[in-house]
Amino acid sequence: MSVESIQTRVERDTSQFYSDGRLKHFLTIEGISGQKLTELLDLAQSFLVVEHRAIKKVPLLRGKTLVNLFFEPSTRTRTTFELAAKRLSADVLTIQSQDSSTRKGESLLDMLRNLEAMAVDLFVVRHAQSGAAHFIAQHVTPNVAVVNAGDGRHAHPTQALLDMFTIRHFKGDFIPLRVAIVGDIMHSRVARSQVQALLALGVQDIRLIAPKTLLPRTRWHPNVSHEWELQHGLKDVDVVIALRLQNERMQAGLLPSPEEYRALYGLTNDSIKVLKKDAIIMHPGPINRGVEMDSDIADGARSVILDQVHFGIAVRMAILSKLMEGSDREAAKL
Amino acid sequence: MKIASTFNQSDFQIHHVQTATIQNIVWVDSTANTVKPANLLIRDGKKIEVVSVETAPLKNFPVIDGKGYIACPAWWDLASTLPDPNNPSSGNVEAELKLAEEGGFAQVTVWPTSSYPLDTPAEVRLLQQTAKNSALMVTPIVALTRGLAGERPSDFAALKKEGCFITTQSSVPMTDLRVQARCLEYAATHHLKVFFQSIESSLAVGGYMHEGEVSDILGIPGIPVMAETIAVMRDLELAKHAEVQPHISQISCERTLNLLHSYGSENISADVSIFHLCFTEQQLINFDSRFRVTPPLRTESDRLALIAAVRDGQLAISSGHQPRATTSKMAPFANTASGAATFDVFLALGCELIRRGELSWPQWVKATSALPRKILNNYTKSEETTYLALDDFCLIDPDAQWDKLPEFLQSLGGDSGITGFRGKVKARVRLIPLS
Repeated sequence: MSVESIQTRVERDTSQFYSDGRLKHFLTIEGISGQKLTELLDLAQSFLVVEHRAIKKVPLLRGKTLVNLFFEPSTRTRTTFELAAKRLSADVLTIQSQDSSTRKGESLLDMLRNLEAMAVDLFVVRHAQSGAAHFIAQHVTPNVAVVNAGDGRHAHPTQALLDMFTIRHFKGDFIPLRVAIVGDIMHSRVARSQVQALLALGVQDIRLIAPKTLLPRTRWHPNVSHEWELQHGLKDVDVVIALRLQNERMQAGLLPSPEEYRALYGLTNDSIKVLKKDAIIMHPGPINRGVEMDSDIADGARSVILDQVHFGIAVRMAILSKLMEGSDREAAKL
Repeated sequence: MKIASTFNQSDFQIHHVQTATIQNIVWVDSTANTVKPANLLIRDGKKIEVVSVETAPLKNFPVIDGKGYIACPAWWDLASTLPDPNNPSSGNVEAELKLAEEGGFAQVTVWPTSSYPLDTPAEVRLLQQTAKNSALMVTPIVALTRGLAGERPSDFAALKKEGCFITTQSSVPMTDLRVQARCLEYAATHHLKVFFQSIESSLAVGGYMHEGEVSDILGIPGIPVMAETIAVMRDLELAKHAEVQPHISQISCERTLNLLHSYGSENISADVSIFHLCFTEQQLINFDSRFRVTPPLRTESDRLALIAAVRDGQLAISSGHQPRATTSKMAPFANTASGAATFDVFLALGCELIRRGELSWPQWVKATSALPRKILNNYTKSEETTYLALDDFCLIDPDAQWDKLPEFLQSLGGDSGITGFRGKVKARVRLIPLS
């Protein structure tokens, strides 16, 4: 008797949506349609004007309490979330790892329960472990929203969304774009979320460029190729996203030295000559200047790195307001 | 003395009788590879004789209709871990043994752990003392090295006096292969059988699941297949050098099977855990820590290869029982403990494999009963003679509804992807002491 494959593929958790499709949590880009991402980008676009007002605030989250729960160091993500929440008139509490009671042995779940007892409406979570935001989302009270601000190597969906906002701002339509992501893809939560967002928005040609030691073990999608050679990978590309190279990668035997990495994969005036003339260069930060890209490139005409930071506030305002809208509607049903 | 049964007390007053006939059961004969109607003659509460359905019942004793029930030898387990008897907060040994008994096991093999290494006669005696009220046979596997520290062998001579005949280093790594070789030679001196759980720690360190498609999606560091295959090659070479009889326990992948074939399987035995036969890395796609086990769940093609090896009679099926406190699973995936309790779901998972057509009843019984007995040098040809000790026997109702599903099976409904468990688990075994 022949044995056929019976084990079915387990469906991905859909707990980040309410039954009517509205966002309940924002944990991963995976499963969010291109249309929904576009709606979020459009909403973010509408928030850009707020910063030009005399009083940079809108009352959408008035009376709501947001807790930034950061178990890993962060500058850009934490501060832009804080600013975004404040511009939406929320009350904001930020807890960083050094202040966290988990350092005293309290479990993450107990800490969460204690914070929930303070009638929190929304948690923004960064954690070193993949799946931490999912875990928190599974255990929060109904109608408390969770935003993943980066979990291990798994996902950084708000970074990916602000990157999409930046690409759309400079390039318009996603479908004809060639996008290259250069660097430590394997260990990057940003890259995973970026690829998911680019695919959802219709990009047909995504190139992951790195030595084999830093590339994923499997090919994520037919439209995603793996390239070991920088010049070949960058040819005629519209958007280049460089990723930060962490020093730990050298210690783990994945690379010989930062110098050799720069020589082979660093964005330099020479290496970017093969890009399209109007190509843009992005980086989620923080940058190791002289490793993944030279200062000439980071500060050059093609760089949109500071625009990414700038747009991050409006994008995070869009996500927070969308989540609270869903939560309020759900609470009204009770 | 006990009888394994799904019967309620009100259905059959079987636990009050010493001698009885159960008619019209379905007898699973793993040796003849048959499933056929039969009657069971229970004599003096000690032995069961399997006879043809035409055989007349024992005169002047109760006759019970066993229609719809499957009869077979009870399971013998090769790989389970119990809580530390010295540390009540780690769990309750007696409760775990009761689960095994109710799950249809006649025997469990208890592996050493770092906290309870079973490396002294006192530790072995404490385990036996703790298990004395259980009807199960408990076989302690003693630590290859004292405290599993990998420095010097345990006192095998003293441990043998306690009846121990198997040793293992479990999955605790030995950094010095020369020391490992010497410890194995010392084990050979005492004619101990050696169980290996082969994992190359330098390749597995920092990994939490199978390195592959799902680990890539989740961004969770993986454990590659070669962490097992390289370790299996190493362990088989060491066993050959030391002239010990190796048993490779809880293998997880097709490439290990290929390796075992290439070494020739006459003197090498192996087992696979029930979890690895039923589940794959796909179960982890939502960070479900209940499926975080060691070795990790691998791919569907690995699972199918393992199933095929069980069907061919090459692999025994073990429980891989490793109970964990609920709180140890309540954390982000990488912060949770590896291991799963399987005594209570063992048969239900087996019935699922049989319902799917992946295994037959004779294949299941061979892999859970006949092969483990051989591996433990306890094969008594009882299946062939159709005589069984009452302690060593199961009656199963594969269609019986559970009064209450174990929490693990309850939670496998809905989106688990395991369609067979959507409230359809119907098998259970209850062991009722025979007064």
